[in-house]
Amino acid sequence: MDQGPGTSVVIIDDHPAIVSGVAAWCAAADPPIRVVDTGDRLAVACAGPGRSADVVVFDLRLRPGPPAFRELQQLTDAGRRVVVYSQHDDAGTVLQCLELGAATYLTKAEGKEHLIPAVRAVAADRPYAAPALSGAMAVDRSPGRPVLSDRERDVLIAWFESDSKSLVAERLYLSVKTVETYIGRVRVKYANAGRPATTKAALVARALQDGLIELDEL
Amino acid sequence: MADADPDFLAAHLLRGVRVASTVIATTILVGLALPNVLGALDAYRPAWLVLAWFAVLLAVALVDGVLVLRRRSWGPARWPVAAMILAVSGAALTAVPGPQLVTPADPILGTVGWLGVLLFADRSIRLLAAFLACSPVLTLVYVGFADRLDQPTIARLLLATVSIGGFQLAAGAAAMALRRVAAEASAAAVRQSEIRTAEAVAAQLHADRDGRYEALRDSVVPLLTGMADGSLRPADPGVRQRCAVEAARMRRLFAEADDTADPLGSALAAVIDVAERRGVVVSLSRLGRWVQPPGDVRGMLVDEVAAALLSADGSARVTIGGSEETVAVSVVVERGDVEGGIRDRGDVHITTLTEGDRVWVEARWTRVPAPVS
Repeated sequence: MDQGPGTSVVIIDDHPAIVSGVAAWCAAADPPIRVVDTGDRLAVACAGPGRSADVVVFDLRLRPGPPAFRELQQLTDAGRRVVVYSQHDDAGTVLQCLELGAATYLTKAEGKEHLIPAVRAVAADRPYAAPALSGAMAVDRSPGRPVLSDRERDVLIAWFESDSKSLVAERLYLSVKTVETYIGRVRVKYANAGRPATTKAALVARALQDGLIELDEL
Repeated sequence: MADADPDFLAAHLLRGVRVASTVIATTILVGLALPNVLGALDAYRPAWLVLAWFAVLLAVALVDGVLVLRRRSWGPARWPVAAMILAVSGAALTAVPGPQLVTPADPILGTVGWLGVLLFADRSIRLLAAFLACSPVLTLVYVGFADRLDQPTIARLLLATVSIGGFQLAAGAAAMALRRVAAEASAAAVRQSEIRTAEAVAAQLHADRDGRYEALRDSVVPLLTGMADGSLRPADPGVRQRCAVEAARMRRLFAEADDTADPLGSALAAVIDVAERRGVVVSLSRLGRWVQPPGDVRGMLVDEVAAALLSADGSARVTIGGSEETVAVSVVVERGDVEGGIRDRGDVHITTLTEGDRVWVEARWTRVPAPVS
């Protein structure tokens, strides 16, 4: 699958400024992340060099109008690992993307802090949930949602509010590692719920392999 | 305008009617009844009963004058007063000798009704009519007892009842008609003032929105043009800071668009606005829907955020989120100057954590106070 050393991404966004910003973060990352192609259409991820990218960074608003859920589904149906990167921050949109099989969801405000770690985690099929996504999972009231413990919900809300795992750890008398485990486990619970997708299965398989969850918890 | 007294116009109009009624009643008492009483004083058996009757009626008219001046109504006191008037009138009738009944020397029939106008014209026309009927009925009963039910007496009684009673009833009806008109005018005035208020609020909202977009145009457009023509370099930290400030303001503006039913969110936005003017880059995230706390709690929640935000330097993260039972506002600032700790202000639970220069304050309010965990 790898066409060269390190992780590779393809960026789909209709704003040249966003594309160059994401590309700049990728280039500055250590080790660098290769940007194999960019564009404002789905095609850049389906043909040419973009086909082999490990991760698709995908803007949910490719054009004026409703969010591009259909395109997202096409990507996840093709088994691509998608980091949705959007200015929408309402819980409904965020959860809809998870349901469609997006690997993770970042708001544009979270890009600077979270995009590079998210791309790395997603490339390895590991769960990643930035504050906006964590908050959305914590307040989810939809039928068929995964069951969260009170502790898990507390961690998610604190993470949403503080955007700092060390502050969450201090607040809830946990270690940073435990905070990460809580967040990751909730993300995996979501991967195991709703409509099945290969990307979700990969996330769950990896979590089992890493010991993040046990088989009997599923 | 919204708290204008809807009865103001009615009270204003009806005061004129009451003043007129009081003047009429007093004039009739003093100018008509008194000369008649004095002229026939020798005929009454006993005279003091009729004089006492006159004194009671005059007293009622004077009290009514005082009430009018003080803009007050008789209220429930009207009932005992009406009963007292009828009682003394009945008693006074017995002092009038048979031949004098229903003549100018019998002032009772024509006078009592005017006091009824004073007492009942702000209630209902039926009550007034009932009271007006009492005086001829009393006279009729007494005339019957005095065995003077002859044709001329009956005719005089009928004539007096219809002419004088009709006068009194008309005065009361006029007052009541005016009262209805006044009530309608009041309601119309209130409706009009509500419409004016709504229009003013809408205009103010529109102006505020215009003002905010105006401010954005004034600050964002020069920034973008500057970067486009190369006079501002994105590599310059100052330019980057300006971009961050503008981006945060624009994000908040978009978030505000739907918050008219969210006083907490609006109050928070205002505090953020102030912080941004001081150069703090604020990001605001909202999560879910939250219960609106009472006004004093809202103030406390916003105060906690404001204290941290306005002591801050650099950037800050503000969040607001909750559910049907709870709402939490939170702020994380860099280089803030706030003491750590956990405390309660009323029903608001405040947690402050510090980590190096970073400060995190969360203020949470729960509708039903949760058991201490």
